[in-house]
Amino acid sequence: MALVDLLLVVGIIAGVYSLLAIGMNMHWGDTGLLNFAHAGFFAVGAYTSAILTTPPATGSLATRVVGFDLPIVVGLLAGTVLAGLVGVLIALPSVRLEGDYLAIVTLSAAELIRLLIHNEAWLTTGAQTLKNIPRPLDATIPFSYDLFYFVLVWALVGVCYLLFERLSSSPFGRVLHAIRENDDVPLALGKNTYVFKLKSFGIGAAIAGLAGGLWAHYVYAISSIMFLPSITFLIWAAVIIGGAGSYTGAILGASVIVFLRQITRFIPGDVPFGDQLSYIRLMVVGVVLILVLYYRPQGLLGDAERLQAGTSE
Amino acid sequence: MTLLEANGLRKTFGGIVAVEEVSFEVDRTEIVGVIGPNGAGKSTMFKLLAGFHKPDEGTVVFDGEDITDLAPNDRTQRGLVRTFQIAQELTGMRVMDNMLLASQNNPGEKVLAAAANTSSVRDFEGTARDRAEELLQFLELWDLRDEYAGNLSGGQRKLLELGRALMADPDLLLLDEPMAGVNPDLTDRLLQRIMDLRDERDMTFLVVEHDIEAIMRISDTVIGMHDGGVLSKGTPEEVQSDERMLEAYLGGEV
Ligand SMILES: Nc1ncnc2c1ncn2[C@@H]1O[C@H](COP(=O)(O)OP(=O)(O)OP(=O)(O)O)[C@@H](O)[C@H]1O
Ligand SMILES: [Mg+2]
Repeated sequence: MALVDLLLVVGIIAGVYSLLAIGMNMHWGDTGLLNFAHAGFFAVGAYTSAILTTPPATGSLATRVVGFDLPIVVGLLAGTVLAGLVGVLIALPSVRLEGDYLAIVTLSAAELIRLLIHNEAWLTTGAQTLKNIPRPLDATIPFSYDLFYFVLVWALVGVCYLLFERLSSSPFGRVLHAIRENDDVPLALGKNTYVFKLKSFGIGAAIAGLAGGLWAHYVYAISSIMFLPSITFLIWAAVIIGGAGSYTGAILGASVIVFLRQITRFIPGDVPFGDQLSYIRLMVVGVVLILVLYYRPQGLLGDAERLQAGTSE
Repeated sequence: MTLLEANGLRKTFGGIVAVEEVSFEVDRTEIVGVIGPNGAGKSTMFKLLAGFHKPDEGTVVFDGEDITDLAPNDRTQRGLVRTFQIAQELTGMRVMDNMLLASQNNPGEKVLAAAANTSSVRDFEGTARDRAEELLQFLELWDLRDEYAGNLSGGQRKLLELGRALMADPDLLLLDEPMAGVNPDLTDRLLQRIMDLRDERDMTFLVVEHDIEAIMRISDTVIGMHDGGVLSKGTPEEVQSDERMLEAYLGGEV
């Protein structure tokens, strides 16, 4: 594979992760909510779109009896909306909880989603891989398909970036920031903080669902082990490295992490420790995270002044 | 005409009885001072009125409606706004944003309108900014409008707290020690402002203060609290000369 092709693949993954990080930044950067269910929203988007755009499986070994063969646009939209709804559903009972408890509940919820996917074979093909997910305009692109998909994904990243940036700087975003700082204050100022938290959760989850759909339609085949909590942790690392509260930071952080993880794939297996590469890749992310937190606690593009404000008592 | 009614309020924390059998009425456009020693239950009583605590017993009636079971934000939307004794500035937000947050019925707080940035969103924001500017000028915080609130001094934080509450344009404002840490010259102007707001905008005030002189100057009625209960209630002169109040709180001050 030529280097350009390689970079395109890395770029597509970076785009998908950027969407995930944009959603997470609304939760954590804007609203201060500890969401650990992101892999679950990603999975809901991927499976929804995959199920809606493929026919039911046929043949004697077929387990999946559901499939709709609908256009891909419908699948992507439905995956986005359903992930948002699942986000609200998870948030309804949990979003009032103090930080750490919210983290535990959302982490369990994401695992629950993954186990449901694993077990409900009639809907998802269960432990087997859900295959033959169609690619948009597959046969009609006259040039490199990866180039087309790269442009598609990053165009969507651009649109979402502008939308979330606008929301964050709007009066709506101002209430989210107030919740992040101290949620008694917006409450005393007449804001229904519970409803604002639900909205934040739903919107961020929806964008993770969109990322899931884009991922499913790129890789042809998905299975439940693709949606382990490690994805959530990587997205957290991306948001923190990029700088919580900054949407450009979220995109940069996601891109840095994807790049770091993907370049280590091309180290040959016969170098020392070559057989331990998958662990080393995780360690690299950890080391970068620690270095950033140590030398630049606000993250690469975070606001140092905001972090400092009020800490000098 | 009665605006606020507290009926037999009681609040305990474990074994501590913080507020007990507190009943009183506040008339529209009245300025009511609340005094009493540390731990008398003044702030707890405010939290019961504002909905931050649920009373064990008793009811709160505001503008003819029983609001005992309403959430704090619903009370604010009906015009009953509180400030915090310890200023709760939003440290990671700028002074101007602290102020703008307080405007009520802001159309831009709806997701779709915010995403579309409609003209009504922009117009509302513009009007709110003008109001915020006027208040910040008055509170001598205008030059600090783009500063993070966390960088303000203690007194400035109290002023911002007050400005934010005024920005919400309440009918009844509960002020918990608004003058604490504010310099004397500005205190005078704050007191004047409170009286002006009452006269010009028909606002009603309930003010907790340890600055007895200030309270006596602006209050129509003073409530003296002690050990969770109302010990004395009347005009400033009556409360000031009440034997029980002298003993419990005012001591050598008279
Ligand atoms: N959340 C709480 N948990 C336990 N005890 C509390 C709580 N809030 C208040 N108290 C107790 O209730 C009593 C009344 O407290 P409160 O804050 O109402 O006093 P205060 O009159 O406002 O005093 P100060 O003038 O010092 O502000 C005190 O004994 C206090 O310790
Ligand atoms: Mg108090």
